[in-house]
Amino acid sequence: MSEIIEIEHLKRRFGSCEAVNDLSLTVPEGSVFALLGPNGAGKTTTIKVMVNIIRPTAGRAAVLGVDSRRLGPAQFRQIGYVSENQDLPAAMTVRQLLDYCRPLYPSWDADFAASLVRTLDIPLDRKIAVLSRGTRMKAALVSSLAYHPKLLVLDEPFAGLDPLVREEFAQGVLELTGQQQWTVFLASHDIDEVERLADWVAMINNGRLLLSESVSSLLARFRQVEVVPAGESAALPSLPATWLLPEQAGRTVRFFDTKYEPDGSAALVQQVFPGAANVNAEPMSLRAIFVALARANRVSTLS
Amino acid sequence: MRPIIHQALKDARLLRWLLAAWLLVLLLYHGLAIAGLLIPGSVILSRATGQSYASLRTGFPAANMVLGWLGVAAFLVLCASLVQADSPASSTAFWLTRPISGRTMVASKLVFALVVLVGLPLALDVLDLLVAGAGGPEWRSSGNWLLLGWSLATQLVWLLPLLAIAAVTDGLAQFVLIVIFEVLTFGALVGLLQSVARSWLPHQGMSIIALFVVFVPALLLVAAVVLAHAYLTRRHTRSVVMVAIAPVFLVVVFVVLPWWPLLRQAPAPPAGARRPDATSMSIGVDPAGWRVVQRSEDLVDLVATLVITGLPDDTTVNLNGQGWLTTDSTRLAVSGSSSTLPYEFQRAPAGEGSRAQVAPEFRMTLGRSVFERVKGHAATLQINVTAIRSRTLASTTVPLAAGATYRMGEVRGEVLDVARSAGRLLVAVRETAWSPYALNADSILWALRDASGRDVTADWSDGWIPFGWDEWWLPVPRHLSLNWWVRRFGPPPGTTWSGEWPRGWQIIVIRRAWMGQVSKTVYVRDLRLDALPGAQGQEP
Repeated sequence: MSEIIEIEHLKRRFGSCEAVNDLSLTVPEGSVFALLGPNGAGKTTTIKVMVNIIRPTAGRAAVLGVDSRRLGPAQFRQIGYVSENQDLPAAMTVRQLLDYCRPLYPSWDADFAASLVRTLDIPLDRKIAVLSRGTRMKAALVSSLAYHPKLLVLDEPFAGLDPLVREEFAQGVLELTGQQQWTVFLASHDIDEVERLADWVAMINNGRLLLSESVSSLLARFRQVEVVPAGESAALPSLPATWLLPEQAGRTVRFFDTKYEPDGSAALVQQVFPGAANVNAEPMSLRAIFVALARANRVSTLS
Repeated sequence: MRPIIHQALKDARLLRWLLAAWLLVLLLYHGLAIAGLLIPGSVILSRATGQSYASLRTGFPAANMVLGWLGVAAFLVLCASLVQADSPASSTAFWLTRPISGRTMVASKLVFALVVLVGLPLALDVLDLLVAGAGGPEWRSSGNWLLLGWSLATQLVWLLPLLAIAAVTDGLAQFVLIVIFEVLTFGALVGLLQSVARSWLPHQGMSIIALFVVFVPALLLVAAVVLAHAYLTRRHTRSVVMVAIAPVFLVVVFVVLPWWPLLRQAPAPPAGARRPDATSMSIGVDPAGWRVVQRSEDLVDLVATLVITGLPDDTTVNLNGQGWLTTDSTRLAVSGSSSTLPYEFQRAPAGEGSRAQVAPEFRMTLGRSVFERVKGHAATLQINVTAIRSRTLASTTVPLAAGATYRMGEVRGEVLDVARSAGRLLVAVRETAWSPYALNADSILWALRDASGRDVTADWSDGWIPFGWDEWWLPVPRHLSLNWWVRRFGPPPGTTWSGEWPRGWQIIVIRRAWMGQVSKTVYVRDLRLDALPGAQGQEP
């Protein structure tokens, strides 16, 4: 699988604020890649550098094999971009917006656009200025999908949407991802939606990359572990670095194992807590993994 | 080209309501101007002598001014909206992630601006011109082409900088603030420069043309570079810095470039002509000619007779001055001007211009309470009198009859009415031209010429320019210029008019252009101001 986005040691500074710091990641072609992170983590900045809205301070990002600073009309004919931070021409109706976009894209598929409008239930003749936030996002999505882009970039597409619209939006993206052979790059802090959509995930916090791997691999290697050591309660021994946020409540010790494998992890637990009889390793949701990593990152930053 | 037109059409659609409002203002403005052309001449004269004259006089200019400023405001908003609809300064603009290059975008903005914001006003100008009766030979007039160029340049001088500022700002409020900042900064720099080097920016003669010739390209260059830079690189900070230092750059252009010392030289006199020599001119006060006249209940006029000698040939003077009236305990600022200008005509015989010219009514106005403070004291008057020299550029004659028309250069004139009132002759004339430059009211000189060739100047004149005067330096609307004049001619000194209209007389219209000015300081010592206000014409 080739890489449709390659980011190498990317830095972006705004004054003294490091919005993105030494970020490196790759996005496989055909994947639905989610960039997760809390507010202010650097997701939107990363995307803006990727699509040449802003320039990197250092490092580089390549999209469709082209340095982001050199992205031009030829590349943008293959990139769809939907962002909560994008200003749609408010004085236009949705129909006028689509009419305006059509000549810009040789691959514009009017039938596909019409079917998207029907599917997403968008009023064509209302001005964008009077549309709800969700409908505006859907209109932007149609204007970004109708030309069958190779890469669809979604920046916080679910922000501020009510559950019904969010469901429609996610469902639309999911269905289309199945039908079209495109790559989706999605930045969000809405982990539940990401878990439904993404097959590849990266997490960033404070501009730094915490992890980047496939969702299945991530879910397989993270476990929330509870251990009741043998004997009386005592201070925690030295724990492996791959066990995050260890806590002790009474005799029970809890931590997040980031390198879980059924046999090896059990042996390691026995090595650290000899004679521990009660060991429980529960699979974690993406949300739990994200929260654990974010907390661990905060703890390490504070310490 | 197709993407550029596609973008320009999109802009036209987005801005259609604003465009419609702007066009409505333009059409009203030009429509009013054209309506002014169609008012019958007899109405003008009868109103000039009657009560409704005042309302006519104030009504048209007021509408003209309101529409003019509305047009300018709409133009400003259009410029800002045009660029900021696809702003290169915003990181949320829609076009940034669409297959539209910066080059296409800036080209589309320029095409729209040139076609709509420049082309439409020019088309309306042409319509005005046709209605005003200019056609055929006028189109071949070099002056008209010059005015066309001037008109275009004025439009561009506003357009490009406004587009450039819009390209580095986000929102109308920020745009307006930066426009004000730029204008104030440039004005402050020029003011500072003039205060430390007074000769830096002379305002007369060729220097004003040189100023325009250099200033316009420099300004357009800066604006074009900022606009292109903003769209092609989208390096916002750099663009903002360029805009911030633009006023400094423009001033440096004037000061540093080697052309400036050349242009500061006075233009060479025409071959065979005697160059006006300021040092040969002198202005004196006839000591016997002093009077104190009560102008109104609150105002007192000090009236002096000035004598000017050493005037070069082919020169006229227009006197005004400022100075001080000083007693032992008081120092008063005074200013004055001549209400009876000693015009000398083009056809004066060579050498006659150097004879002494007398301005018997040089008036300096004081408040009555101020006058009371100096009354009875010995005072010294020090007044700096400025004589504005001008050279006749063209002249023509026209029959003294309603409906008679004349053309002179780019100006078309029509005698609206001729009437007799209280032993004097009233003549109303309407003049039109494409540009107010051609209708410089201060440079118009009229005289009646009798059958023997003797001229009689007007003893009273009043006129107003309902269109195209106040807004000549603004982008739109400003093009059709329309003057209405009413002039009153009295009989020549020592004669009386009798019977019917003076037969065989003509109106002479002489057009002139300012060429320079000379200032002389006049001292009058031991002046006693003893006259009581109310005692008309008493000598001190």
